[in-house]
Parts: sequence; structure tokens; C-alpha cells
Amino acid sequence: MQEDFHYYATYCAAILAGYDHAESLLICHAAQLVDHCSRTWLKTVGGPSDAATTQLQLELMEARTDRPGLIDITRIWSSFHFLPRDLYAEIARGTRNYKDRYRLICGPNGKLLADTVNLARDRSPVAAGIAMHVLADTWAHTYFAGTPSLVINNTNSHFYELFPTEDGGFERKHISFSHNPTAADDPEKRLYVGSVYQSSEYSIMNLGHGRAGHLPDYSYIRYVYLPAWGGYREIVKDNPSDYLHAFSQMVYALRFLRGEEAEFSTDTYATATIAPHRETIREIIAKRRVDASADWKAFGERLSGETIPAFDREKDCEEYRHADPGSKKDTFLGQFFDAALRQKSMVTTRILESGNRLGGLPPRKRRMSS
Amino acid sequence: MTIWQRINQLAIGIVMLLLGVLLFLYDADTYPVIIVLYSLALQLTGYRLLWYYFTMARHMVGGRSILFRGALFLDFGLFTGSLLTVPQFYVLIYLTGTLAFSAIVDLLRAREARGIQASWKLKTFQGAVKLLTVLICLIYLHSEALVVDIFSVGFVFSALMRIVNACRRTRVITIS
Repeated sequence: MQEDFHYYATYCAAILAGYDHAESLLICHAAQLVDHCSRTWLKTVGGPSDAATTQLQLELMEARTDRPGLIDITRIWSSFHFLPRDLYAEIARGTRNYKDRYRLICGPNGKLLADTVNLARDRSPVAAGIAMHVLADTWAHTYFAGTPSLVINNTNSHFYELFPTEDGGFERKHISFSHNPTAADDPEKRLYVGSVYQSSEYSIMNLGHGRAGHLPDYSYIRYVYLPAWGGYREIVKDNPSDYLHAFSQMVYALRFLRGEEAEFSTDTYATATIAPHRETIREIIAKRRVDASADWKAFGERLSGETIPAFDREKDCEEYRHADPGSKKDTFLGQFFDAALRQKSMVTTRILESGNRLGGLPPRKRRMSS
Repeated sequence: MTIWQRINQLAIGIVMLLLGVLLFLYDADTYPVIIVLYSLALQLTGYRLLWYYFTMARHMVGGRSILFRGALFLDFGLFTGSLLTVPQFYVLIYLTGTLAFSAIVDLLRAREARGIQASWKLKTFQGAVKLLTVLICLIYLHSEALVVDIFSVGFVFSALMRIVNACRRTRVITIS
């Protein structure tokens, strides 16, 4: 997902959940900042390096892919962008190494999602924003894992876009991939940019949905493909449906965080709340273009009657830099770093508890080695 | 390419460079070293790919190609090792053949890369020079010493290309 959904759509969801304009801006700003808070950026701000929620292209290129490096990458990407659906998923095939990777496959409505939303309860809107980023990405990044892995994240050329036909079926049209990073995606020609096949299991090119390019990030597209882990069974990725579910679940989760729902249950959606706007939302989601920001912005401004400023990553940096050491935690960025560290710690702990070694050494072994 | 992969590629490139220079300076005396190293490198790659297939890629879509590649590398590695006892003329023909194969692979990869708008010019250049080296080797096949010199120049060229590739900036597709 991109700025259109993480910033503007999240603002709309917050307004629909009952937050006021100022709180909604905090929520969507935090949600979008998750895609910018790299170690390089944290250095310029003076924030804690452990609070990194993403890695820049340059950081990824230089990232170590030995064991400590892989653990670091996995902690960041699994915690914020590819939340595992089921850390105990049953799979009869494969070695333990294979199962460790398989169990990190992202998907919606997992137990970790409930833990993520519950973690943000009774905290600032900033924590809610981070949780909304994670929630939304569970829908977009379904079927990919937040760890470099050829056997999980690889794809081949078997990609077909599905176009609805008059008889209720779908017509298939082949999707091609270019590997020129400077090229732009061309939805009309169904030509998208994806990462090059790398035969190394741990290549950075095999992290997340790099091999499928930005297809998971576009709300309009429906496609079928063969994921590396799928045993040659075609997977249908219905982004319009998934994005609608993501939006509806964000509204429900935000209502829970405001105290309007007693508990957060997975697979539950704010269907009634969004019902009056359902067609508008569906239209925005289904429109064929790579950036839906303008439409989401207009929708958000209609909902709140306020102007939504453009996302500005540097907006709160000065406040954090000049705050006294004791009051830094009360600034926007202080709250963001605190919530990010909590989220990363929670997900890492869950991965460790499941016996999965990609999150790091189990606590007992760590104590022995220290 | 990560910094560790760059270091790995640089190390391989430097070893190849040294071997190329040794081959040029000492001709026939360097044969056994090259054959042993070449055979070991192919066998290790074969074993590594087979291990990866049986432990990880057995259930992966397209994973069988890793099995085939592993078997092929291992087979070539064992075959290359057996060449220690055959006359040098045949070793030269074999090495020239592998260089020709490598050139064709480079050109095919460059063609594929061009089709998907990836970087292709350097690969084409590499394939073309290798092919040229093969042709010159075939023309002067009757003069063993000259062929060894030509082959060593080709070897040095491959080493330099590997070093250049290791130093090039690469770009990855970022995900968010």
C-alpha cells in the first residue's frame, strides 16, 4: 500500500470511526510515517535506531544477509509490513528452515493482528496510526513474507489480470514485468516493474512482494499468479475486495480504539458505518490508476469539512529535536518511536515464542550466550 | 548486491585474475591447478544447489530447475576433475568449449534482460568478447602455447568483468 491508502484513506477511516479532524490527522500521519522511519532518517532526527519501521533502498542494498542481518530485516518487515497470519501454521512438507519461513507468510485476521490492535488500545492516536498501517498491509501484502526468501516470495511469469465479463466471469490478460527500476508502471499495457530473479535464498530481491512489483499496492487490480509456496495452485488476489475489507476493518478497529467497541475481534468489519459511503469507496478503489490520493483526499475533506494537508515527513522533527530529554516522549515523534518499539517487541516476542528462529535467538539461548 | 556479496564477487574475481596471469606466465605448469580449482568450484556449486533443493526448494514452484542445475554442475565438476590425466590438447578444447558455452549463456541472458528492460549492455559485451576469444582459440588451435595465452587473456577479462560487476551500483525495487 502507498500514501493514498496509508495517509488519505486512513484519515477517512478515522473520521468515520468518530475521531475529530486533529486526531485523524495524527492517526494518518503516523500510519504514513511507518513507510519513512528508516535508520538513516532516525539519525537525522536523533531518534532511537531500534525504532526503525522500514529500510530504505540504499539500506537494503547494503544490508547484511548473514544471520544477525536477516533477523534485523525480518523484525522490521514482519512487524510493520508483513504481519504473519499464523505463526503455528500446520504444514506437512519441508524442513524446519522451510517451515520457519512459511509461517511468516502475511495475511489478514491472524492472532497477531488482534495483538497489534489491542496493543494500541488506551494509547495515543499515534499508536493507533501505526496499528492501522500494519492492519492495512495484512490485506495488501497477503501471501508474501517479511523476510528474504526465494522459496516463499518468488514468483514466475504466470501472472494474469482478471477483467470482469458480461456473463459474470473473468477474462484473463497476461501481465508482463520489467526490471528497470527507473521505469514507471503502465496499467494500460499491463506492464509493471518487479525485482529480478535471484537464485540466492537470502537475496534482498526476495524480500516481501518485490518479485511481484507493486501489484499488491494497487487497489484496482485483480490477478492470478503462482506463489512459490503454493504447490502450483493458482492464487487469486482480489485487491478491490481486499482493500474494501481493509478500509472497513480499519474503521472497526479505530472504533474499538476509541472505546466504542468492547473488544476487537478478527474478521469483523464496520459494515454498517461505511454503508452510506460504500459506493464512493468502491469507486475510488476500483478506479484504474496507480495513485488514488486525490480521490481519497476529496472524500476525506467531504467527510470532515476540513482541508487535509499533504504528508510532510519533517513536520514534527524540530519539535522532537528541541524538546527536553524528559519531555521528548510526549512529542509526536516520541510517541511514534515508543509505539513502534512496542509493536516490534511484541511481534518479535511472538515469533520467538513460536520457536521460529528467524526472529532471533530464543530467550533461553540468548541468556546462555550473554 | 549486498556488501558481503560484493566482497565475495571481488574475492572470486581477484583469484581468477591471479590464475589468468599465472596461466599466461607459466603456461602448461598451471594446468593442474586450474583444473582442480575449476572442478572444485563446479562440484561445490552442484552440492550447494542440491542441498538447497532437498532442504528448501523441493516444494517451490520452479524449484526443479534448481535440482537440474545442481546435477549439471556436479556432473561437469566431476568430469572436469577427470581431465587431469588426459593430454593437454583435449583439456584446451574442453576449456574453450566451456568458454563458448559461457559466452552463449551471457548473450542469451543479455537478450532476456533487454526484453524486460533490465541492464543488458555489459552482459552483451562480455558475451561478445568471450565468443571472440573462443573463435581466436579455434583458429590457432594447432599452436598450443598461443591458445594458452589467448585463453589466459580471456580468463583475465572474465575476472575483470566480475570485479567491475562487483563494484557497480545496483538498484532494487523498494516495497512499502
